[in-house]
Amino acid sequence: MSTRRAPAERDALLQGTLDLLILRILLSGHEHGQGIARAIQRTSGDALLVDHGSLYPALQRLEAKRWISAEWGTSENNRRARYYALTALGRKQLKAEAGRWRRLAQAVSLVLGPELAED
Amino acid sequence: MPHRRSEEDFRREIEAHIDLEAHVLERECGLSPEDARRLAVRRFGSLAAVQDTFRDARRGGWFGRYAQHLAHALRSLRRQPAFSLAVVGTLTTGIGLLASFFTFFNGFLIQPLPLPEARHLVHIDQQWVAGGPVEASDGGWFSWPDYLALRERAQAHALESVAVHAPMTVVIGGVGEEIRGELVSCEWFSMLRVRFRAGRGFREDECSHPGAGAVVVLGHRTWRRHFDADPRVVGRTLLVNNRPLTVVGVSEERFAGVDVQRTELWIPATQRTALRHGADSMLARPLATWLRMVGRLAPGSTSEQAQAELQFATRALEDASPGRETRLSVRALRFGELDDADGRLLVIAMLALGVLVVVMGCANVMNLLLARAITRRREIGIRLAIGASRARLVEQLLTESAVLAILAGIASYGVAHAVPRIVYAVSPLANMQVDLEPDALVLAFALGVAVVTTALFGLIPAMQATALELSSAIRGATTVAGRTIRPSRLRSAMIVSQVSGSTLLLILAGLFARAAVTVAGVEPGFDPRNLLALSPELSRLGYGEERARAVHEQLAERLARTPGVIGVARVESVPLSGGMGQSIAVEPPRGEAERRTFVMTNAVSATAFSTLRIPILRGRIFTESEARAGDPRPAVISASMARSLWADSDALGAHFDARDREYVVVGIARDIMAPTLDVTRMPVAYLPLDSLKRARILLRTAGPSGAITDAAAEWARTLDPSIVMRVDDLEARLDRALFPPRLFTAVAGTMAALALFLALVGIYGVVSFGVRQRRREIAVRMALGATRAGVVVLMMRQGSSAAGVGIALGVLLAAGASTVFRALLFGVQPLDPVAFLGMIGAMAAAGGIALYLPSRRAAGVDPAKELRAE
Repeated sequence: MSTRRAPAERDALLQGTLDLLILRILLSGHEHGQGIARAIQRTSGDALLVDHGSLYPALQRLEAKRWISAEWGTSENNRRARYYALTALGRKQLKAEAGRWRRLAQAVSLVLGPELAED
Repeated sequence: MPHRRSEEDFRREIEAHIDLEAHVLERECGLSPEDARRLAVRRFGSLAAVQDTFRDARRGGWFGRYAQHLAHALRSLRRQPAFSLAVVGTLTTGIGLLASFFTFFNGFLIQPLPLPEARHLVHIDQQWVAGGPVEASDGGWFSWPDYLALRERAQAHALESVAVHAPMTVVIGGVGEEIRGELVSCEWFSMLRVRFRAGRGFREDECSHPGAGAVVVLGHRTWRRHFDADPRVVGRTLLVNNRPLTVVGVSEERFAGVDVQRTELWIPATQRTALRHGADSMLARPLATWLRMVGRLAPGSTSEQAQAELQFATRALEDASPGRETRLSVRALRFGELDDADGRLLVIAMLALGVLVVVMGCANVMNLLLARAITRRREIGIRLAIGASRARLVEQLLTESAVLAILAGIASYGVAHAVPRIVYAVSPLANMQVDLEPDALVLAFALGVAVVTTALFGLIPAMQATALELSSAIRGATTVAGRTIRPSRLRSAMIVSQVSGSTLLLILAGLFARAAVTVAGVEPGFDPRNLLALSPELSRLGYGEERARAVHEQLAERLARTPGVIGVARVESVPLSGGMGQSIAVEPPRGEAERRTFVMTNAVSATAFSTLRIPILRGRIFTESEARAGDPRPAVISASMARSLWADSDALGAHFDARDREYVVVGIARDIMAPTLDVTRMPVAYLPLDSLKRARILLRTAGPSGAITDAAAEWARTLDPSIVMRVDDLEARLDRALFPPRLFTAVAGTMAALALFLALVGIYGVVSFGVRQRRREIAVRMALGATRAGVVVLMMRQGSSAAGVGIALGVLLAAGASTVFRALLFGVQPLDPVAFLGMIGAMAAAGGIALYLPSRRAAGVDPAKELRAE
C-alpha cells in the first residue's frame, strides 16, 4: 500500500477497510499509532503492509466520529505516546461493520465459486 | 477534542511513533540507532502528505486549504517586497492607465445620458452639400423653419419625435447674474422624459409662433439658489435679460440638459427675438442655422432607419428652396461628440497607447514571475522530494499570483478613479456633467486583465517549476526539464520585445512633445499682456442703439481720463472667442462668376488694431469718417483671407459683400490665432463697427488692471444698476486656448517616463535572471582564467545585441505609427529627426545602464564556492 500511486482509488475501497482493522485491533485494548501499525502487520501475517503514516488520517477520522478516544500516556520504553481506545459507540460500529464485511466476503466467494485452476 | 488539536501536538505524536518504531527495529533487527531511525522514517511514508491531511481535516476541507495557501502567499510575498512591488506596480501602471482612458471615454462617448430610456435618444445633424453655405451660423445645424418642416415629416416610423435646442447665456434677476440657459422647442421635456420637481414642461401653444411662450422652466440648482427652493415657485416671475418670464416648472435634480456643460434653465425657442430685444431675426430665416436637433427613436428602430427616413424628408425642404441640398446623419446621443476624423483618431490613439502599455507591463510581469519561479527551484525540489503533492504546490504558486493580481486590480481601479478626476480638475473645463466614476465594467476589466495576466504568466512558470526532475532541481542545475526553448533564446526574445515597445512609446512621446512645443510657440498674433475685454451686454438688457451709444461714450470718456489706461477700443467679438461666422460674396477678378465663401467677420473700431497691437502688413486702417460715409465701406482683412481668396491678384482694392453691404479692402492685417485644437489661422474680415448694442470694450493697461476694471463696472452700474460688466482677461483666455497642447505635453512626458520605467525594469529583471541562471557557467569560465571584466562583458553582450534589435524594431513601429497618426502631430513631421534620434539615444543610454548593473554581479561570483556547491 504505497502512498504514491493512485491515492483516490485506494482511499475509496480501503478507507472503510482500514477503519475496520483499526477498530478491531483496539478491541483487544488501548494502543498507540505505532503499535496499531505493527499489530496489523503481524496479525495479517505480513500480508498487509501499511505505510505507517497512512494510519493517521484514519485515526483522525475515527476520533472525529467519536468511535475512538485518545490520551497521552507513557509507552513501554518510557517514551511518551498517544494512546487510542475504543468507545462504546465504536464498539457498536465495529460489530455492525464487521458483520457487513463478512457478509460481503461470503457473497463474493459464492460468486467466484471454488478456487480457479491455473491454465 | 480532535478539532482543537494543535499541529504541534500532532507532530509530537508522529515523533513518538517514529521513535517507537526505531526502538523496535533496533531491538528486533539489531540495527544501529541511525539505521533504525532511517528505516522507521521510510516505513512511515510521506510525512508531508500526512501533515497536509491533518491540516485539511482540522480546518474544514478545501476552504481551509485555500486559507492556508493565502496565508502562506502573503507571508512569502511580504518577504520579497521588491518583487511584489515590481509586479503590482507594473500591472497597475498599465491597467490603471488603460482603465483611466476608458473611464474618460466611457463618460463622454459610451454611456447614454442619465435619462429614462436614453438608449433611444439620437443626435441629428445636417451637412450642406450645395446651396450653402448658410447666411449665419451660430454653432448649430438647423434653422427654425428647418425644424418646423422636419417635425411634421419626421414623425414617420423610425423616429418618434424630434426637438431642437441651443445654448444661450442670459442675465437673470434685477441685479444681474449670468447663467447658461437653453432655448428649446416645446416637446423638449416630454421627448426626453424629464420628470419635474414642480410644475410642468412647455405646452404646444407656447411654441406656436415667434414671441409665444413667455415662460421658463428652472433647473434644480437655479430653483434652490434663486428661489430658495420655494415649493410655490410655479407662477412666480423671473427677469431674464430684463424680460419677465413666468416660471412654469422646475426640473428634477439630476437633469441639466444634454450637453457636457450644465444648463440651468430652459426657455421656449420662440422667445429668442424677445430675449435679444428685437434685434434678431434668426427665427424667421431658413438659412440661419443656430439649433441642434435631438430625436427619439421608436422602439425597435435603429439610427440607420431613422437616417434613411429623414433623408427622404429633406427632399421636401429642398423643394422649398431650390438649389439646396443637405445630408442628414443620425447617431446615438452622448455627452461627447466624435464628429470629426481627428477626434476619432485621438480616441483610437489613446486606447492603442493604453493597450500597448498594458502589453508591455504583462511582458514584464511574466519575466518577473518566471525569474522568481526559477530561483525557487531548490525550495520546490525539496518540497516535492519530501512528498508534497505537485498539485498542491501549483495551487500554492497560483495563489501567490492571484494575490498579486487582486492587489494590482484594486490599485488599478483606484488609479482609474483618481486620474480622470485629476485631469478634470487641472483642466479649464468647468461645470461639466460627465460621470467620471469608473463603473463596474471598468473594475471587471481591471481585475480581469490582472487575473488573466498573472494566471497565464504565473501558471506557466508554476507548471515548469514543479515539473522538475528532482535530482537536477536539488542540485540546482540549469537545465529546464521538458521544455525545449533554450533559456538564452527566451531571454533575448524578452529583451527585444520590451525594448521595442519602450522605444516605440518613447519616440511617440518625443513627437508629441515636439508638437506641443510647436503649438505653444505659436504667436497669438496680438499682444495679450494686460489686455482686458469688458462686456456690458447691453443688448441683453433691451438697450436700443441710442442708449447704448450714450453708455459707451460715457465709459470711454472716463476710461480715457483714467491713469494707467494705454489704449481703448470697441469690438463686436473678442479675439479667441470664436465670433460670428458669415457667408460673404466675393467679387471675382475679371468677370468670373461671383463666389460665395465662409469667413469670420468682426466689427471693430479703428483703434482696435493699435490697442490689440495687430500690425497692418499692407495698406492702412479705415478712419472713422470714411467708415461712416463710405460706400462701399472700408474693411481690413487678415492675411490668410487675402491669400485664400485673392491669391494671385492684389487683395487691396478688392470688393466683397457681407452683411448686406458692399465693402472694399483697404488694408491687410496679420493673422491672429483661432481657438481651435490646432490653433490655425482663420480668415477674418474686420468691418467698421456700427452698432454699439453688442459692442465690447477692449482695454490695455500699463500694469495690473484690477482697480480699473472694478471702477469701470462701478461706473456702468451707476449709469444703470442692471448692467453686469463681464471682464475677460485675454491672457487667461490664451492660457485656456493653449490647454490642449499643454495636455499633450503632459501626456507625452508621462508616456516617456512610463516607457523608460518599464524598459528598465524589464531589462534589469531579465539580465539579472540570466546572470543567476548562468552562475555555473560563469564560475567555470572564471576558473579557466576569464577576468572579472571579461565576464561582465560576456553577460552584457547578449543583452546588448538583443537591445539593439529591439531599438531597431521600435523605430520601425514608431515610424509606422506616426505616419498613421500624423494628423495629431500639429504639423510636426512624422519622421522628425530630432524626436527620433533623441529618443533612440535616451533608450540606448538607459538600456546600457540596465544591462550593466546586473551584469556587474556576475563579477562577484566566487568560482570556488559555486563549483563546490554541486
